[in-house]
Amino acid sequence: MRLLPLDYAVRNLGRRPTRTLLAAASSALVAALLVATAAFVRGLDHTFQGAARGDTAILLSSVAERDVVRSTVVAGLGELVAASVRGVASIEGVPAISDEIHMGTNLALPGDKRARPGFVRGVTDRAFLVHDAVTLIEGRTPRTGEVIVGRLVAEQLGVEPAALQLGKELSFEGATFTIVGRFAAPGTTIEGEVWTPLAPLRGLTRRDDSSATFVKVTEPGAIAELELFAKRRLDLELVVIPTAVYYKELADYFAPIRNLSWGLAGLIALAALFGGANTLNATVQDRVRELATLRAVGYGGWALVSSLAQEALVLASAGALVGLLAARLFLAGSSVRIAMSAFELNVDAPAVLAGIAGALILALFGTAPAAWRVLKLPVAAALKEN
Amino acid sequence: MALIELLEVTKTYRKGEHVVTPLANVSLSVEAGEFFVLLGPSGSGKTTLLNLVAAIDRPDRGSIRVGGVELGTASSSKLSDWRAEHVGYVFQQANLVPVLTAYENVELPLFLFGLSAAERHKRVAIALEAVGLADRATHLPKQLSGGQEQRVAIARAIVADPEILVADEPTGNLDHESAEGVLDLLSRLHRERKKTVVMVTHDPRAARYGTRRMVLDKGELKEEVVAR
Ligand SMILES: Nc1ncnc2c1ncn2[C@@H]1O[C@H](COP(=O)(O)OP(=O)(O)O)[C@@H](O)[C@H]1O
Ligand SMILES: [Mg+2]
Repeated sequence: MRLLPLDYAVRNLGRRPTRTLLAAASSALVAALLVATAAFVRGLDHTFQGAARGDTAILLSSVAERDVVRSTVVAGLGELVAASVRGVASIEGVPAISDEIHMGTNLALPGDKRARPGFVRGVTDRAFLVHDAVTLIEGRTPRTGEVIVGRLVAEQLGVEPAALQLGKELSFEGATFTIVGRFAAPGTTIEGEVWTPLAPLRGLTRRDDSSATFVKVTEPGAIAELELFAKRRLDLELVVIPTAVYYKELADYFAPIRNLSWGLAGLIALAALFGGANTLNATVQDRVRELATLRAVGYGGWALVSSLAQEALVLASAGALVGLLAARLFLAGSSVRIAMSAFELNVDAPAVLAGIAGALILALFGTAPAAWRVLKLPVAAALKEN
Repeated sequence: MALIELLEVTKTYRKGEHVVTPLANVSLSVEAGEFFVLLGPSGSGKTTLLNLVAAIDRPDRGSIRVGGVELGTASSSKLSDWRAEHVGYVFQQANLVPVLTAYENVELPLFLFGLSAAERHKRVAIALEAVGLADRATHLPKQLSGGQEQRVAIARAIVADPEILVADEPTGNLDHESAEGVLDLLSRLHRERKKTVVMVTHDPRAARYGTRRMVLDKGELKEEVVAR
C-alpha cells in the first residue's frame, strides 16, 4: 500500500487550530491522569510491599480481629518468646523480637489549636532489629521524652517539614516530646509514624501491656515454631500472622480505593475517547470532497485511514508529552495521605509508560469510527459535496 | 479496438422511492487520441458516465473496457491502482489540498509509484512547466486565482503521465479568460502529448475544442444536432 506523506498529516493539524488544541489538551489531561493514577496505585502497592517479608511475623491478640491498634498482648511477651521458641533470629546475641504499642492519637505542634490525628508507635531499640527497612537518616534513637519521626510525618500531619526538624517539639497524650531523629523506611507505611520509647509510653497511657510483638525468624519455616508456641500457650490468646499475610490483607483493604482510582481514570479516558472520536469524525466530514479527490487520484481507502491515524497519533503524542511533563513536575516527590498513614506517589517508568501508552491507544481507538467512514466513502457522491 | 468502450451500460440511482436512471443501455467507443466532448443538460448523467470511465463508479449493468481492462467487475483496490496509472481527472472545482503548495499538490499522485525524490521533482517541474505555473510552485491554493488553481489541478492530473484525461466541466467555475487558458491547455495536451481527452461541458465555446461531440439526454447518447 502506498501512503500519503507524513507531512500531509502534520500540516492538516494546523487547519483547525482550536480543534487541534482542544484535542491535544484532552490527550494531555488523559496522559497526566493516567500517570497520576498509576503513580498513586503503584505508591499504594509499594507501601505494602516493603513491609511484607517472609521471615517476620506478628503476634496479636486473638480477639483483636487482626487489628494491631485494638490488640493487647502481655507486656513481657517478647522475653517469653525468646526463651521458649526456636528459630528466632538474633543479631549479635540480641533476639530480633520487638514488643510494641501501636496507637492512633492526636498530635499537636506548639501553638496548635486543632488536633492532628497521627500514628504513634512505642518501641525499644530492638525494633530496629526486626524492622530493617527503617534507617535513621538524621539524629539518633529516642530516649524518654523524645521521639523520632518518619520521613512522611509532616505530609501526614499536614505541616511544613520545617516544623518537624530536630529539636522541635511535639505533644500527645498530655506530654511534650523533643524530636531527636528522622527515619526512612522505603515502601512501608512506617514512614508516616512517630516512634517513642515503649516503657514511658506505657506509663503515659496507663497500660501495662503491648499491642503486638514482632518477631523475625531465621527462615520462613520457623514461623511454624511461633504457631506451635501460640497453641501451647492458649492462655495468652495469641494469633500468629506472617507480615506477608498481614500486609497483603491491608493491601486488600485498600483495594476499593485502587479500583475507584482506576475506574475514575477509565471514565475520564472514555470521555476523552468519545471526544476524540467525535473530533476525527468531524474532521472527515469537513474534508469529504478532498478525501474523495485523493481516492480519485488513486489512493486506497487504507492509505487515507493511515494518514488520519498519523494525524491522531501525532496530536495525541504531542499532548501526552505535555501531560507527562506536567505530571512529573507536579507529582514527583509528592505524597498522599490515607487514613492514618501516608505514602509517596511513584512516578516511575511504568507509570509514565501507562500515561503515554494510554493516550496513544485512545488515539487509535478514537480513529476507528472516522476510519470506518473513510473506508465506506462513496467516492462519486462525495465528489459532489461542497 | 477502441481505447474506451462502453457496451449497453445502465446506471440507476435509488433515493428512497425515487429511481433515477441517468444511463440506460448506453454504448460508446472513444478511440485513442480523440478529444471527445460530452454535452447535455444538467442532471442528464454526464458526470455519471465520466465517473464510470474514470473507474470511480461501477455500472449496474453492461460492460466498460478501458485499454482492454474490464472496469465493471474489478476490485476496488485494483481500481485505485488502475486510476493512478491510467487516468487523470480534472473536476469542475480544482479540489486542491489547501494545506499543500501547488508543487506538493501536483506531487501527490507520484507517491503512489514509489519514485525517488529526484524523479518526483523532475516530473512535477515538467507538469508545472506544461501548465505555465513553474513560478507559482510554492504558492498555497488560496494564493492562486481560480484559473491558476484549475491549471494546478490539470498538472496534478497529468503528472503521472496517464493516457486518458477526463474533465468534468473544467471551466464551469471560471471567467472567460481563465476558461480559454484552461481549454487551450487541454487542447495542447491532446495535440502535443497525445492524451485522449473526455470532457463534459455545457459551454458551446468549450465544445468547439473537441474532435467529436455527443449529447447525453434522457439516458440516451446521441450525435450532436447543430442548431442553425
Ligand atoms: N450519488 C448519487 N445518488 C443519487 N442520485 C445521483 C447520484 N449521482 C447522481 N445522481 C442523479 O443522477 C442524475 C445524473 O447526475 P449527473 O451524472 O451528476 O448529471 P450531470 O453531470 O449531467 O449534471 C441526476 O438526476 C442526479 O440527481
Ligand atoms: Mg455533472
